[in-house]
Amino acid sequence: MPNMSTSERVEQSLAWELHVELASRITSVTLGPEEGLLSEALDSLYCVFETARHALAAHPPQRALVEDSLHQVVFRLLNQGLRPFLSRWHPRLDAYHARRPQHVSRLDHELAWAQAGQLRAELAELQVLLRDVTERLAELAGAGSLLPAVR
Amino acid sequence: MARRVPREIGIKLKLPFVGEVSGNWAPEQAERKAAWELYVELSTRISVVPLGRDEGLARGALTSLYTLFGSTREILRKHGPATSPRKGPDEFTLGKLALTVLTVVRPVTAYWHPQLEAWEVKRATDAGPIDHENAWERIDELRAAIETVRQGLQEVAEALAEVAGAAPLTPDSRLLGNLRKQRGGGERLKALCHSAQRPSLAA
Repeated sequence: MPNMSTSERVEQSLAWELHVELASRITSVTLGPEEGLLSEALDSLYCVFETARHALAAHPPQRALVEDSLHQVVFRLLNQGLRPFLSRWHPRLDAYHARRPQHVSRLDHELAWAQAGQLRAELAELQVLLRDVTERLAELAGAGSLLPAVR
Repeated sequence: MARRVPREIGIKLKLPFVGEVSGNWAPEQAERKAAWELYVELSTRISVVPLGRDEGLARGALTSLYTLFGSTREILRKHGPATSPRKGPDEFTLGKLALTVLTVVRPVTAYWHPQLEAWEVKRATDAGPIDHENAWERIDELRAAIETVRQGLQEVAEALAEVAGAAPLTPDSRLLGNLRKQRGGGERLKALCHSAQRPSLAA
């Protein structure tokens, strides 16, 4: 892209990387009541967290950060969005899975979990927030949003 | 670069879980490059012929479909925001097509992976994986789901091929004769190549 400052290029590429990550994962997809494995949904969210952390480290800001700088948006995505959810649910679900008898599948074990409904409800709330961030990231990347193609 | 590729193509797809989508696609250079890579993924990850009964594991096919999430993400990342230029809602971009691929694949991997796994844990130690899979009461349903996705992805692959200037995906009967004979060996290799990564199919 011609006439772009280094700072703009860094931000565009960071925003795009995270837009792709969020748009292509469970973060953007409504999960039906008995669809998907919760443990894998949480693992997928964790992957977003890891990718975002690495992307932040690889794209240092080229100008002083202000409240609505891209990097701040990403920090908020991690610290106010993903982390509280993951630190609340990952250990609980792991502990529950640790009690799974060998002949019971992960699916059946999860279906029998008393807290599954609560997790799904909170995940749906988190997804609303994540969708907003995903759209914002597409704007900052100067790209068309990928979300319309996701169902 | 004297390849004769169209400047704009009309796309009309009928896809599982998505329905009918149509529009024009006037790809820019980054989109064409990414289209080629996605085309390679699709045409090597999905079979050009239906997976016959007793011809290999549905598990292998599911895992192979699942790898499309990672590779699609990687292709989009690599070629940057130029793969998703801002266009009208009726216009296609490589980015939209790529996410459409994932939308077609996701319901099948997300639903069937845990269902099949629930059957797999019941396998007796002396039963072979193929026999056990074929003994599942839902195996035909799963194969049908995989077949639906395969047909959808083939339509997408054809559009990508046109833009990337590649030959269409048609089965070569001479080659297929050999492939069918060798399938057992192929499946063993596939299992080897996937054993290192533990698939997580929620994506």
